Amino acid sequence: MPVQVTINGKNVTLDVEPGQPLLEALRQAGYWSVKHGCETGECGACSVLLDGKLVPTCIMVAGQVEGHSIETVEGLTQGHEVHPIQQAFVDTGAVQCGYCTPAMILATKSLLDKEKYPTLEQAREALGPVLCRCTGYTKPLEAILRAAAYLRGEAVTPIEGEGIPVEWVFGSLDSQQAEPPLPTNGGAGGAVATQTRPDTQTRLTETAGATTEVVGRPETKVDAVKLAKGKPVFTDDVNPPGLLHGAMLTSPHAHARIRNIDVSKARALPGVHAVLTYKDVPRVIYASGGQSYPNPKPWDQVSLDSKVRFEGDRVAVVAAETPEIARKALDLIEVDYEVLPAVLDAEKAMETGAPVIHDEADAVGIHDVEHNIACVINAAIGDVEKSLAESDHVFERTYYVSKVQQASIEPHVVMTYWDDDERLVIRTSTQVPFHVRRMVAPLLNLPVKKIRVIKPRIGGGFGGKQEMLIEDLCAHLTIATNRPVRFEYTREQEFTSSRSRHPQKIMYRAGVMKDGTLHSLDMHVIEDTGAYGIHGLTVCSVTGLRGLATYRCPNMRFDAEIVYTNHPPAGAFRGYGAPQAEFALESLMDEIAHELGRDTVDFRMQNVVRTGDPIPITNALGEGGAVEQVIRSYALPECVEQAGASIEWQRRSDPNWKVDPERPHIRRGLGLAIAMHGTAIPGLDMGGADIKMNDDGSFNLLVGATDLGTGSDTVIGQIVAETLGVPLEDIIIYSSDTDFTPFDVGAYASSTTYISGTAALKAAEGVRQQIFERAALMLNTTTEGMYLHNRQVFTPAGKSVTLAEVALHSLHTQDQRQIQATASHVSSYSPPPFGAQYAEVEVDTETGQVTVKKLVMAVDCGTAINPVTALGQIEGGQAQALGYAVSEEMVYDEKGRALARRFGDYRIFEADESPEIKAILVPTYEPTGPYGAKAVAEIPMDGVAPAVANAVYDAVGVRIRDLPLIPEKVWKQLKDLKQA
Amino acid sequence: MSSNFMEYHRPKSWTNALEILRRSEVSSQPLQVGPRPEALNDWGAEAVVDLSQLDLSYIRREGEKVLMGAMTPLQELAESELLHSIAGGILAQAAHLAAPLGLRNLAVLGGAVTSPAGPSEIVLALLALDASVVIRSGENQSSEKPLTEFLAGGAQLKRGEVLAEVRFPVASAAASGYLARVARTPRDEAIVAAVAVLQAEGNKVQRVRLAVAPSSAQRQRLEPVEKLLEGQAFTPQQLEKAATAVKEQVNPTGDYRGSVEYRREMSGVLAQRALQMAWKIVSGS
Repeated sequence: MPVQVTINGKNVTLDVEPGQPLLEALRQAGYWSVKHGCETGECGACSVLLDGKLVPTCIMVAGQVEGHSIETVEGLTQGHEVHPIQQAFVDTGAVQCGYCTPAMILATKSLLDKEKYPTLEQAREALGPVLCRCTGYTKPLEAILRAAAYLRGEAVTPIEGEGIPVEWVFGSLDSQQAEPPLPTNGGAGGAVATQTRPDTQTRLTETAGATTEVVGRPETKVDAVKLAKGKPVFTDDVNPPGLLHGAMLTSPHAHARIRNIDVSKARALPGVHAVLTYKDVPRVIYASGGQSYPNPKPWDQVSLDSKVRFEGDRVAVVAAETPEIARKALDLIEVDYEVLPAVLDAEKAMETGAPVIHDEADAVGIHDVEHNIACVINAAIGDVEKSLAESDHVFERTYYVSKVQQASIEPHVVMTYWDDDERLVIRTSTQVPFHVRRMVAPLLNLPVKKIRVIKPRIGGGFGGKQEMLIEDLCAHLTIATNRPVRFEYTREQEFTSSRSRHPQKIMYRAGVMKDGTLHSLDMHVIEDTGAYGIHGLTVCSVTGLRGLATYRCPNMRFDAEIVYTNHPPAGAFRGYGAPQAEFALESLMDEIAHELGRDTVDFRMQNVVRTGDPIPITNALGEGGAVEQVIRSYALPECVEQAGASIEWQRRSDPNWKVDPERPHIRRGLGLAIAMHGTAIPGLDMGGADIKMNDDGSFNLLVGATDLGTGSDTVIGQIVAETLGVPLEDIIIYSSDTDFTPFDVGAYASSTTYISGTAALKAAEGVRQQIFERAALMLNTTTEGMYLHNRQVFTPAGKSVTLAEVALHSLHTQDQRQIQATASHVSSYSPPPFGAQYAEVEVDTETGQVTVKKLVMAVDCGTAINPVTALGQIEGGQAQALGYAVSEEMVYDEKGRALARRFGDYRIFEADESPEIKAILVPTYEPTGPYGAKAVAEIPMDGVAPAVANAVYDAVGVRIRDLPLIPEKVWKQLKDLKQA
Repeated sequence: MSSNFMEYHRPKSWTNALEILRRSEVSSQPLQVGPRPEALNDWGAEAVVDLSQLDLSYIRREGEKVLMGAMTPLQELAESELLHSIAGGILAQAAHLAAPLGLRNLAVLGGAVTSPAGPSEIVLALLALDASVVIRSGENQSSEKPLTEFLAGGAQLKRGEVLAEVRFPVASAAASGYLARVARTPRDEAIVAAVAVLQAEGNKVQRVRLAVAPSSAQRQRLEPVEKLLEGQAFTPQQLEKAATAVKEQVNPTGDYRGSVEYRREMSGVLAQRALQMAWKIVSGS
């Protein structure tokens, strides 16, 4: 039926089906900026302005807009123009993955059309409808206020970021001599050792106070403008001819065997092109976690199986002409289940006689099938039992961390098709395109060379897309139909059939001497990996690493059981085992300090690691093998001090501040947690880069690194631009296409800037050397002392040629050759970033409700290559971690059925309720990182939960050892305290 | 993205709308989105009837009543000066809490009242304001029933009926009101909520209305507690008695956000808080 509507000022007739969702109709009509994030109007990614008001379109029927006016961001500007609101979002770093950005920009427009001078509160209210998982709302709120200023024609303050001293980059002799030697062991992954990076040949200038020109500056994110304009850059933003729609039937039971499955009615439905079950696809054992070859065991999955192991497990897939037909076909599939007893508790799952979840004969590498133990970890340093016996004080505590979800606003989505050469193209929202290609090949019985994986822009991942989650199913449908197929999870499927953080029970025993020194740390973890062992071993290893690395201690032990249950499988989630460990560790440190009557900061600082310290637990745990680590760059005390000043830590001892006379049931408190993370998996993570010079002196940069919204394309581009003496705009970056870019393990483990950035740096150095050689030929001199600056090559004598002249000479004039270099990088060193996380809370003593008023985190991430994107990571990470602390939890009934199946029930903070979130960068220079950089991506996840729990203790004297801190848990403890 | 709807209608008259809704061969449902919308493909109906052309979006005072059309967006409730002036603005506040701005622009009062689950505060505020609902069943046929009665019947409409209006007596304007809640986050759906509307005469409670939702799907007015307080001096002892009575009268359903025990206790705590704050406002003490 036709629907007459004005869209972006033009009269349009939408040809829609009765009842067709408005979101779908708009996207079909080419308004790709309108995004699908959920089906219940709660994420707001699908919002448009309807007669000037922001509304979600996923819950509207297209017919409702007859005679109305719609605005989308496509209508804000023409051609290359950028609207002032878009410009403000770009300038402030408010655009991370960009998936929700069009909706945020429309929300802003709706506000600013009415209010020329918006308040911060009005801005928060305006952004409330649009969930963002990346930014934490701090920068989008700045963007709104800045946009208002732009529209008023006012001058605005420049975005901060002044580069880093050149001396830091090239080093001073004294500081180099003072540094401890680096390990040269290449680890299990290779023989390439990390190196310090003073490079006197390319010293830019001897001028005191000179700073880098691109690195350390708030360069505009290279993809920000197109994302702010809502261009069709995501996986689902294309509509190839003949496209079929995939849909998946999932198990209603937590544990069952499929006795029979009848798909005849589904196959007979007109418009259905394929229905696949376990009878139709080859049975190939694999592990779906996107990890390096060979994938860690156990290998316990197949594409489709005759047994289901959690509610939401795969049963069948369908490809049909429309999503409606596909859904109807699913309803016509008849499945006869033999329902089996389910086990939902990891400790009960290990008991003899518990239901055996993986009784299949072909699973590989399960530690103890009968007791549902996927794997175990045992590592020790020193003698823990003896040291505990020697300790003056022994503390035993148990902590529980919950199952939470990545909840990227863009669901998992993939499109597969045969290209003209009959190679399979997989266009997918993934963090690991190269792993996907390698891992999917055997499942499809295709050689790797017949598969191309393209990663477009990604609408957030947070580890949830470090996974080959649905690519195999969609590819099977293309193989079965010879048609392009798109397959996207619904939001409900994201909650029932995707991945999560591993819940854990963490038991600590700590031995402390009279003087407060830690003498012994014993850590035992029971991890619920769910129905499959995905990432189970490696996540738990990181829990051990992070739980035993932050504090000096001569005797340590880590034991863990990774246990199958009939919960949905867990997987990778930003932090990867560390947020679990840090909650337990930093709560424990707080508890010990209080019980010993020590100041919580002093006690931590007495025991915490320092510059030059080894990190002995890394010898015992680590995916890349035993690799010795030593701390070089380190600014933890400065982080503690600066963030403490920001949160006004001294208020903790002010009894007047802790109460509110107007609200006698409220108590206030402050909490601290220290965070220490890793940077990449030493000896294993590898990234590659290729740089090619063009006729005009610009450069094509090809990287395998996967920008999932974090800004890695920009950061890597900045590293290359700085090295080649050009502005960032001269670097044309293309990333993550298995046919064109070098290999990279992908975006995980906080590795991209450090590993892929160093690969790009090496490639840039290779290109630079070739430029010097060409310039030397042109200027009839040697390369000695040459340097690049301002798109030119300079000799020490002051002669110069432009890069364009160099390029033309090299490509067209004499001894023609392409100036190009490829490099890769793997590091045996994993320099830890450090952080201090503070939280301010109010606790309602009658209800137990915890309201977080402010979060501040100071981070030592080495050099922030782009301070704006780095701050955005820290702000957004804290917001995500706040949900983990107080509101987010995947919960199940006694049959294993998920109870939170939509946003709202699974509570993510909105802009209109988020606390003030502040990030502080405390610069250091990490000598093994590109321009001094180490990681920043994951550390913001680590400290919030323990800081909030510690703040609650400070406020009301109750200790919550079980996340999240929902009101009832606090209330119960308050009640117990009162009774005691 | 898909929906089950085979038909979409946007009637311009009540006759047409009710004809469509009365059909027995096609299941039809009026399109009144609440603050906790279901996915379009979870709606049980084959046809959806858009009521936007029937002039059901308004908030106005007529004589001694405030009338609100069932298609009035929640955002208009939240912004209404009239509603802000009544009983401490609890209804406007409840509408604001019900959903973020975008959903408030789309969700309507009728959806909030007929939704069996979701944010409870709008219904609680209406209960405390002695609201009634107007149900349209013919071109010139409508009936009014107290909201308490409507809710007791499961907020169900018969085939061919439409919730057209919600109204409440303006006498409540003289009262003070307070909304108390507990939730995981400041704007999360309340685990437990309570609303009190109170009028004083000297140090005595002249009239009180108390509504509590021990869980989001259970919204109840607690008349016995009201009777306990009315005509009595407002003392800490009375308040304590009222809280105890509230706990005795609610029968919560527990879930992962709060157990039965917690919800029962919070019903008492929040009812007490709502009463106390309403009294503080009305008495100035």
